Amino acid sequence: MCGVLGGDKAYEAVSEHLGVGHDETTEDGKFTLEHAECLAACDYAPVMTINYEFYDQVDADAAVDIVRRLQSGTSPLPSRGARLCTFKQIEMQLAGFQDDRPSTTGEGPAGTPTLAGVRLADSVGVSVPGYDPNTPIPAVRPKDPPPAPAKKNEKGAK
Amino acid sequence: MSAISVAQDVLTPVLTKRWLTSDAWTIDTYELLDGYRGLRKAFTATPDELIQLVKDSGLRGRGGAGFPTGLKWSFIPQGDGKPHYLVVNADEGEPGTCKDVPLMMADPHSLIEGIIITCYAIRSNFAAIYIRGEVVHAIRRVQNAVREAYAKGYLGKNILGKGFDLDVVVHAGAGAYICGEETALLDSLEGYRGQPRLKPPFPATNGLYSSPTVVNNVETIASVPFIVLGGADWWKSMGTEKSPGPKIYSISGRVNRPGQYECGLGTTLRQLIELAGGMKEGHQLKFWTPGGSSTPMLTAEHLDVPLDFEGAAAAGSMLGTTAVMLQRPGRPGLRGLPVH
Repeated sequence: MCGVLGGDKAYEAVSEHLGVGHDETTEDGKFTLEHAECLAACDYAPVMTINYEFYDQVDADAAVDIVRRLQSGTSPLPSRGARLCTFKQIEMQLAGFQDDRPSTTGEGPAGTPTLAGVRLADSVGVSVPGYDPNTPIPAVRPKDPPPAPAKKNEKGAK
Repeated sequence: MSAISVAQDVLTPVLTKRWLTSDAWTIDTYELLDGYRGLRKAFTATPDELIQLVKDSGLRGRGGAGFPTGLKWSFIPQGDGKPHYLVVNADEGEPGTCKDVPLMMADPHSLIEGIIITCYAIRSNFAAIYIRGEVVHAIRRVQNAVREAYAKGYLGKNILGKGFDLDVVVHAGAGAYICGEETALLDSLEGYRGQPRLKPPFPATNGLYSSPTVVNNVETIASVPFIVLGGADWWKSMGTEKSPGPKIYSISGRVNRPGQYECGLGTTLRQLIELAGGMKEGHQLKFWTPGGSSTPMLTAEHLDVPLDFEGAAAAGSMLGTTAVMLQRPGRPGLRGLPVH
């Protein structure tokens, strides 16, 4: 979806700006460009990531501008979550270590697309009727035979 | 047909309701919003009663295949002396799909609570959440939720004094699309290269470390506390007879307000477009996919197809992950994606 909505143009613009293609690194060793397949953010499309932090709804101009700001030594604020950190720090997080910077989980409220449906529901006063958290859980008598073994038609979740 | 009347007809804010509260991802706020109440209630029932409850609710897997969740749980052999595992598939990678990441960002504790209830039901003392590595922000939120849950005694030894132990590990994937397939995911989790296994045997008997394993999608597991609280009949008051319950539809493409819309299963594209503020000006619907890019394309002929597991299949497609992507007729029309 990113590609169709302008992501390919943004990629081309950044590629031209940096003078590198997919999986290539600039001569100064500072930027490696990658053409991502899908980043599970179609409602925010097109998106780009820097060191795995998301920049939502970028067009070609915005993408190049973000790269320019990095080149000038500033740290453009990602759209969700934490501020940019080094690639090594992100690698540590992916390896399962806790991000030791304070408040990295707290920054950034959910964006408009995330809340589109629930805000609409709220604005027209929709809630699901009949919800009673004290509804009893029906009793089941303990079974004598063990549960049935896996059947052949069980399908994998994908 | 106005947007308001459609909204009143089809929207069912259940899993997404807490998202409105901006810090619902913290455990203190989560607890104020009925959080971990489902767990306390679940502990008053037996594991078999919970499996039966989820069977009765008709909950079907939200990862795309639509397999009945309670049935899957009941396949786990009991009293076999082997460890049992729950693996949560959070490797959201089917293009178009973008519902699990916002859920893990906005309401990660609903996933943790669902995990604890599920593990109690299938008699598992270990669960892994396999999250795709590209979404570090969501990984941080879920890791934070796990830490908070440990600190409050919802995870670890003797949870809530009920004698039930559970450890949860958050695992980051390494960027392979195939690892969204459950057996490739299991291989990856074990430290091998992620490649699908031959089936049978199925994960229910030979899953993680060749032990009985339930693999469920994030949205499936996050539904469980609501079913425990509201009951099977309430759950079935939403959606259709064979595909009950609410579902997060992810609408992207040429609409005015792309985003997440939680509706009863069986909602039509015509209704979804209305919710999303209509097609963008100057854009006409040419084709669309109902559930990610691997589901066969549909056209404007199919605007009134009920988008549940049966309806999408009857139209020659698949419900998939209800990642609804709308495309316009364009200069390239159909275009190839660069493959590297």
